[in-house]
Amino acid sequence: MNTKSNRLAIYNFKNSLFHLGTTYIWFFAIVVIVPTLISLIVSSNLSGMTWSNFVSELLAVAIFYTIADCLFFNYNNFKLTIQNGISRRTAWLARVKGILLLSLPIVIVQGIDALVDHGSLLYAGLFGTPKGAEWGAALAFDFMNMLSLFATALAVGYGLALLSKRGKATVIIGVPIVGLILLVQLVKAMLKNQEAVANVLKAIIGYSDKTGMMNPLNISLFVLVWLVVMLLLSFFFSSKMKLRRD
Amino acid sequence: MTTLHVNHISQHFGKHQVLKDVTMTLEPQKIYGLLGRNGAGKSTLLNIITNRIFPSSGDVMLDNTEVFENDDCLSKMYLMSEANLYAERLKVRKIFDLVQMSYGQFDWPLAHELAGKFQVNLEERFGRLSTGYHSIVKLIIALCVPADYIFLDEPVLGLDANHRELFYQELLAAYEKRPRTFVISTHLIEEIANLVEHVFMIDDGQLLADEDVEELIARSYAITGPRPAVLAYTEGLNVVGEESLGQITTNYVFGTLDDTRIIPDSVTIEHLDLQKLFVYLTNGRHQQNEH
Repeated sequence: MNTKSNRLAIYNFKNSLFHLGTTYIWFFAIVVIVPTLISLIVSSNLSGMTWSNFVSELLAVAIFYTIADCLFFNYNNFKLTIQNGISRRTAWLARVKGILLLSLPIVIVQGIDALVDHGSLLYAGLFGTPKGAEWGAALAFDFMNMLSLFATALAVGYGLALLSKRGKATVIIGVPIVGLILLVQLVKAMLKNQEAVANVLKAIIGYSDKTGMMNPLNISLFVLVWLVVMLLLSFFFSSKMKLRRD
Repeated sequence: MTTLHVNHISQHFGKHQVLKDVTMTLEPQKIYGLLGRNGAGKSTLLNIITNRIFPSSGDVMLDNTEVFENDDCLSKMYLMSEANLYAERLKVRKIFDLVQMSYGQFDWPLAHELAGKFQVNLEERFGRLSTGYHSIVKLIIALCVPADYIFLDEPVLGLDANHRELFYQELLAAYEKRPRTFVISTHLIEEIANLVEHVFMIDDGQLLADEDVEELIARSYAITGPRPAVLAYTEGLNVVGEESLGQITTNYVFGTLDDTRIIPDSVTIEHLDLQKLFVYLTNGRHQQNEH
């Protein structure tokens, strides 16, 4: 199973890289080339685009692409794998490995950018700029957060892949409406129990009233648990995948 | 050599029962025909066997191993179906690469040979091919993949007569070169009658016949002659159909004839072909159900 899932993971990774490349071409055309040309025509200069901005935007595109990949390509992936005698379990494992492979360069580039050009790391935003050995922990923290984000998208994507076109349309229209109503109720409930909610949130992020600092360990544990839960959920949904009749 | 067992498979889609307790055994290196009218449940059965959908009850075993979610078992099967599961943007060559990556091997020399005979451009994108060429690409894969059980669901969909003939020849050649089990599900019964050794007939979700073609044909008769003589001779036999033209009547009988009855001189007895037998067997059941 491992050999098969490894081969498939590499195929998925290459496939994602191809799609990401296509996305970058569109990104360059829309965000770089067209505005640059307009800027040249209007003011005859090329100001506005810095190296730091550029790398951050490239990273943002890669992250958004990976989220979209996790959300929307699960059924296509299932069709291809089940046609080729690959079980749902192996296909899921390969998908997770493929996304892991795709996340690695993103976090590495993010780390290099943070080192070279003071680019932004989530860790730095929460706990201050890392020093010395903290860099490893900072990168691991950002990597885990990124993975948990992708795992969440994967769980949602596999969930959506179980639905028919009609079911999907219902969910896409219905969930924001229901979500908004729930959010309003949640905010109301939170306002009533402000202290309790604040304590729970503080516990999650490891905030200390005394020092006014957050403890990376608390939030890391929370993110780790979230990551595992989302992976399990995506596995569960993937095991229910079947060829749809629509 | 592995044997595939389909055990008590039933399938519901909502309130509609598509398959009812279907049990069959597929032996290695045999060519089977899977026959049934539209909506009989053939494609559903093949989708269940190859793990594409889940049965409501029952299981599929390869010898003593359950096929469900088992990579080893699944890699011994290939289903060529009407549904196009390959990405439309992929080039034909890339699809073959993908099949090789998944199954571990692929008969490239045969693939090139067949692509030449069927005039398939390997650099063409799958989505740009016609319905007939979609079928041809999938057929080439079916003949080149190293699986032991090849299921062909409507394999000649969209193929012209020349390509259909070529496919049947290539199927036999591939079988001779490397014997494996083929299950051909088609409505063009006449065209596969000489290819298949054994047939499964499905009607209304139930297995109607599970027999070698020779035995099946040997038990089916067309009894023709003047109506009174034919009716007298076939009285009490399993008459599955009747046709009349003027004074001449033909009764189609499935089952054993009564050897003690004397065949009138005016009556002739012939065996039915597979297609006619299928038509009368399935028509007969539907007429009975309607009554």
